[in-house]
Amino acid sequence: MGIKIQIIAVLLGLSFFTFVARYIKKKSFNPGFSILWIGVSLFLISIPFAEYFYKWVAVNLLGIDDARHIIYIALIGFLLIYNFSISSKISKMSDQIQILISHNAYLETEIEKKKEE
Amino acid sequence: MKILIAVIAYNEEESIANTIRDLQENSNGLDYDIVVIDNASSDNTRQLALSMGVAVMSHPVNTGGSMGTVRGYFQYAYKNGYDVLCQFDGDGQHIASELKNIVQPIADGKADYVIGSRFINKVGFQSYFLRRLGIMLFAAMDSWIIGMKLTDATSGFRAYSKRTITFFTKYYPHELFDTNQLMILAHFAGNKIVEVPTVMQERKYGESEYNFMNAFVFPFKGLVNILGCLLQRKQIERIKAKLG
Repeated sequence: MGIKIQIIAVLLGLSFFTFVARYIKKKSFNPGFSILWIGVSLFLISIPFAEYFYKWVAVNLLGIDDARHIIYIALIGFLLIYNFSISSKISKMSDQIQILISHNAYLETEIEKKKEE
Repeated sequence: MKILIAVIAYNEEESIANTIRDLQENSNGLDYDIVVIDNASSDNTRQLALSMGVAVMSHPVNTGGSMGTVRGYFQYAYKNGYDVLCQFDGDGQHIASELKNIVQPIADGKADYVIGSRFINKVGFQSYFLRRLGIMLFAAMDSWIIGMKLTDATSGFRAYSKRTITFFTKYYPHELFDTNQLMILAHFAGNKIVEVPTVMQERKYGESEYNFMNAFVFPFKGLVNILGCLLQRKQIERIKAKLG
């Protein structure tokens, strides 16, 4: 990895980390998501510094000839898992919203009945 | 025996008064309460229903098609201790004097989930070709899963026993997407399903949720829902023991 690309990668990683940190500070991110995105930004920063380690993992541990492929594989894998986790959370929230809507409607009906009495 | 008729309505201001009047005047000897489940109508449906002296449970936001109201009426029936709950469309398709047909099997202890089918005696409104085709396909699949012949699996004219009400309110806290799912889950939970003949009429006002686009989308969603039910079978059967 050339020095220019290393500097760009570090800057991009740091910008992403700052963005995530600011978001957590201002908008109260869910702790699970906070840890996840901090981890992703630290991974991005680490790429230029731990280049040889990642290459070693790719070639010797996973048997991938071209170490660059591991970045794509890891990214696609991460996005698939992340999308699945989001879908699962949305489904759960949708169930809960349905229950809350019907509960809210029921309570409103009961309140109106009491008022009439 | 406490009976509740849940009239489901979304923007039915043109038909809701006639539907409620039919229920109030043609009870056919049945003693029941009426609640209108208003799925966040933007017209005068709620006001018209209230002016006719019936209870109205209004959703704060629209929860989709007719299935979006199911959770609401189960909750209302469960919390008010009803023994029988009937779903009745607010668009004028269902006929009040036919209610006795779907209530009787539950009153006799012969069923927990009764479907009013317009295709047994083939009298009255028989729906449109594409819809009938979809109904036939799902009726065949549901019949195979449930182990009994069904003809009008997606009928909205249904009655539920206290056991079914309890199952869906207390033990199945997930979103319900279509009638096939509702029926198959009820069956897995040990509720006895019965189909009886009924007569329906064509809606005079408003639009059906089954439009041209949905005729293609609904079957796919239905198939996924049935697959989901089959995957949940073991989990539902464990609940069966709790229901007694």
